[in-house]
Amino acid sequence: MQELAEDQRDLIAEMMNLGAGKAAAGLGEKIGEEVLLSVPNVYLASRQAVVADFLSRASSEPSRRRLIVVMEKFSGGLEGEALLVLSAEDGRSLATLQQVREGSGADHRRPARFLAEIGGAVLNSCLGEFSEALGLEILIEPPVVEEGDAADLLLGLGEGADLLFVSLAFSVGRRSLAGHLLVVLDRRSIGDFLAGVDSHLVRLSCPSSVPPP
Amino acid sequence: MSERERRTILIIDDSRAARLNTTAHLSQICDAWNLIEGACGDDALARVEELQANGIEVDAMLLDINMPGMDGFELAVRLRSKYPHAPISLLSANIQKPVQDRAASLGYHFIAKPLSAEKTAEFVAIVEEAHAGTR
Repeated sequence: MQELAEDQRDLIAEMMNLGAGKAAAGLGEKIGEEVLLSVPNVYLASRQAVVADFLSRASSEPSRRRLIVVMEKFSGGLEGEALLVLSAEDGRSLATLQQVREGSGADHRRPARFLAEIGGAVLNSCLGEFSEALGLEILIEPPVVEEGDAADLLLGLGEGADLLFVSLAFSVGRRSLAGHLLVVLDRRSIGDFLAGVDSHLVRLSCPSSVPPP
Repeated sequence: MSERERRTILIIDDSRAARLNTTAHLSQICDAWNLIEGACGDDALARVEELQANGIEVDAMLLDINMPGMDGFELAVRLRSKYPHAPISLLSANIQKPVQDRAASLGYHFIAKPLSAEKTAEFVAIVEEAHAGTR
């Protein structure tokens, strides 16, 4: 398994931080709560290792065995899938927060539509940071929401792509809602992505020539 | 060579890339400034002790908010007790209004990441203004 260099890990985390920060501002306004962001944790891992990690958490908290996943496929300069992963319980609580916030005038759409909207905003924001910082055009498909058993949903991820990096947890207000962002890249894209990260690291010391991280 | 007075600026951010970006921007405007870096709150306090032991005062601080361990708000409180007149800017990608309001209510300047040439110039102006006010 390929390892990330410390500087690569650091820059990827900062890009995720920037993307998630922008998305959190939009989400916070929608639900009327401050969204708390963790320090991003970035690593390369096999699909199986990530699934095992989720399943191990799910087994200690049975309420987290059922998940809602908002997924966007992307192609172009990078190919893969970006995911917002929530327990089904937290996903529904998040949708309820928005409905309560909008009161009687709320559009009582199915929670899946709301989650697609916010999940899409979060994922687009993070992918947008990658695109801008690395100078890669990324074409993003509309978000798809799926609900199901953790193993069933996650084992189906990234077929043909056995490398992925995992990132950042967030929680909402005092409600302890939590979600995770995952980015799945195929092998070619991992190589292109890391080459872009390395180039950007070199350029960073000359801020007039590049967008910041 | 810059004609500005030499200042000592504490830059604390757990991201090396962000520190690199910050120091590069500051160096473009104030190439003679003494930029002291650290990756966390404990680093910051250790740097401050070293500076104090050498009789060097910190003129301003740029602190990331979202760091492992001590966050930027907690660090700012501890540093303000040591340098009550030095401006503190909190730098964050978390641009939510409650975060910005909290910073303002505590008297800290908030800078949304990523740092740009314009935001750097604004920070430099704050540092110079604070220094002029303490003369």
